[in-house]
Amino acid sequence: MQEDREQETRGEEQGQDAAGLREAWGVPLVAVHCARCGEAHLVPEGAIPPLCPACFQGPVTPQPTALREEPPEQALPYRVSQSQLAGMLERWIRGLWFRPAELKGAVLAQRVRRYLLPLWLVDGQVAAAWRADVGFNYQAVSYQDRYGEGRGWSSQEVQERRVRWEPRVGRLERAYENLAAPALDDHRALMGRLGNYDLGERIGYSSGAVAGAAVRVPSLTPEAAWPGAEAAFVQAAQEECRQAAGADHIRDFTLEAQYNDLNWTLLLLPAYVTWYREGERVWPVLVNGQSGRVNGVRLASTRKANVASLVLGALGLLLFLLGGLLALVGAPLPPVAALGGGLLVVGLLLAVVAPLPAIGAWAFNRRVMAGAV
Amino acid sequence: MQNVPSPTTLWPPPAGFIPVPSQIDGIELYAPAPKERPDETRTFKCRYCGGSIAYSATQRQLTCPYCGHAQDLAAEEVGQAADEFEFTLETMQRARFGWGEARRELACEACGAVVAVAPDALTDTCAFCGSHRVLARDAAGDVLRPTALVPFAVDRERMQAQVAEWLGRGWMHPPELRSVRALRELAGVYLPFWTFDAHIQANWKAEVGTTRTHRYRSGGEWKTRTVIDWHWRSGQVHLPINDHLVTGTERVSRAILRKVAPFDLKGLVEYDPGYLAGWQAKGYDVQLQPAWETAKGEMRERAKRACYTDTGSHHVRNFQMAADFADERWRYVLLPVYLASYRFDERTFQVMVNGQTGQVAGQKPVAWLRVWLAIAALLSPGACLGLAGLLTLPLGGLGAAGLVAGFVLLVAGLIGAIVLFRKARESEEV
Repeated sequence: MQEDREQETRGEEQGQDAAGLREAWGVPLVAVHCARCGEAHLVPEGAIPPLCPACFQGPVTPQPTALREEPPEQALPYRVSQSQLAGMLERWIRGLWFRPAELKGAVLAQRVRRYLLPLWLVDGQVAAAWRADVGFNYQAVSYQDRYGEGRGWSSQEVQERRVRWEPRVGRLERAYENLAAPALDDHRALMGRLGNYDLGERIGYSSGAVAGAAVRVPSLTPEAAWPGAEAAFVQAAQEECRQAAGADHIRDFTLEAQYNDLNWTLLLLPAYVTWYREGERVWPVLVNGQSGRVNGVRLASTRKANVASLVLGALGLLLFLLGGLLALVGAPLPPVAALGGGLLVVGLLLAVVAPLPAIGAWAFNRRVMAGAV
Repeated sequence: MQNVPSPTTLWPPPAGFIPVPSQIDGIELYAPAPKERPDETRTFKCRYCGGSIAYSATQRQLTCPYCGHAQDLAAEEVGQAADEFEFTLETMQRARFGWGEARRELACEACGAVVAVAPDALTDTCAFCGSHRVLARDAAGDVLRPTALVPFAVDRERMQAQVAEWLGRGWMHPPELRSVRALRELAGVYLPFWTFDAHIQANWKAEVGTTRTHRYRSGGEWKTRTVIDWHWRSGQVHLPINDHLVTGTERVSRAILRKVAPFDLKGLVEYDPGYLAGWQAKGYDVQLQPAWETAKGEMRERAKRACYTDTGSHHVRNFQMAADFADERWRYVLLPVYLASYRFDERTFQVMVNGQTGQVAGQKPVAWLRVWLAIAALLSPGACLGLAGLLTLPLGGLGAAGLVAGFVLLVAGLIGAIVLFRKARESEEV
């Protein structure tokens, strides 16, 4: 197993130059590094973006990266086209008050870029001894009886589903294919934002899959990704042991296994990335290229909210002053004095509610950013 | 499976695990072996002389009456921890293991009772009615197998003497009972019982009355009266019920059974056919579902009484409650009794002995002439004194006092007579 993984990772320690990448991947690509987040990407040669496609915070610089010699073996095709994105992004923004000038579906769709995320797929033979508790559903009958004076007793039969747990031990010798193992340190966080992918739709790699796209470089080698792969093997074995026992549930699964004939392949997951600016920062927005799920931080524009507060405050002050003046001047004329009094009240009310837009936008952004963290 | 790491902490399987079918190739499965095998039947023969051996209540072992060889039984005393089942079709099917030994049935043509006996049992009389009209046939194998039983703990010979002594006891019975020759030998029979457990959560709601005294003035005088103030109250009662016993047969008198009760279920042992060797066993004729309905009815009445107690008042009206049953479980057990019947004055009477405690109860004929004389003796002092008082009433205070004393004595005598009459009736009652 160790040898297999060493064989797989051979060559990854060497940095690949642009010529090597072009030869392996079939398109002119260059590796860039972000000075801020440290992530490495492959981007089309001659179209290096000014900001990192992952964090949109730091500039990127061309720099050779540790990458295996072979190109990815498989890719998932995009099911969401770029023409559909504007509508999806607009629906995602809908309902937001004081939206930033750049947070518009059309603007985001214009800036969108194809973004590919790597994922390891592992095949292997597992020979193991295992132990678990397996659960079988069964129906039990219970009763609810009621009593009332004059009515006597009435009884109602209630069927309940219960689980009977039984221990099982056994041995297993099975081959598993295409078990997913993370190739990125932040794989779990990214999948949490993008949602699941249907890996059954994968196709063989072609150079067209990466044309014009930014590709995240795997941060985990197969050796480093092994804990994730092993968890996937255990998960698959657990599910098969449950099925073998004809059980409905399984728990406390323990596996002592030997893994042989491991084969690692790299799969590219389709996504889109775009961005908008609010305040001092650029905020990325991610879209799952297969399901169309949009994820990002939807911020309210504090500048717009502050302006709204100022306008309301100024209007309130103006009405208040005008009301005071009318009240003074119109002392002998009750209708004028009454109008002045009304304006005084309206002006006061406006002055009271004037800070609400600014406070609301600030609180909303704070809550959204806390959720994003 | 040659590549599987071996030995590991998970392999080989623990003792008592056996291979079970797997639904996926390449995966082996081992599960705990079932405790009992349904198709296993046992015969009880002495390994030395080949004679039939029987369970001895005094030695608590299987013993051979011919050569005296004794053999221990492996079953553990489990008490109230004996296996219980939930109300599922599956567990009922799992319990459907039969007697676990080859047994024959004796069906009584007279009273309809059916008992299971060992294949070589020589009994030809019905333990319930004493009739000789019994038919022997193979026992049905589709009955539930008992989970546990309380073994016989009192000796048949000793109980025979005690029953004879019990028969001769009491002045209201014919003196000939002391030497009744028609008393047949006590037949040791395991009777079927169902035990039920449940947790009841009862929510009640009712108008509960609190009393207070109210002083008021009427006709220039102060008077008091008791007033009840009604308030709606509600509450919740948790009632755990453990081992609620319901008889599994209608062939024995419930009244007599109540008199020989209780049985100590802490003495339950796991069912082993060895305990039945040499004894008769009555299969249940009250099925699980009707037995559960009976138990449930009794349990919810207990819950209702507990709710009434929870109200904290004697004044309750518009009472309503909901009883939610949970963790309902059942088991089928056998409890030991000795049965005998005897004929007296052309009638058959039943006697029962608790095979665990030796408590004796049963029917005894009543010498009604003695009872009526005793009743007359109880009533006559009051009647006579009252009559004397009535006759001497014109004489003034003495007559009135005699009349009152006579009335009091008559009432006391009447109460005594009723008690005596009821006792006499119960003595003959089945």
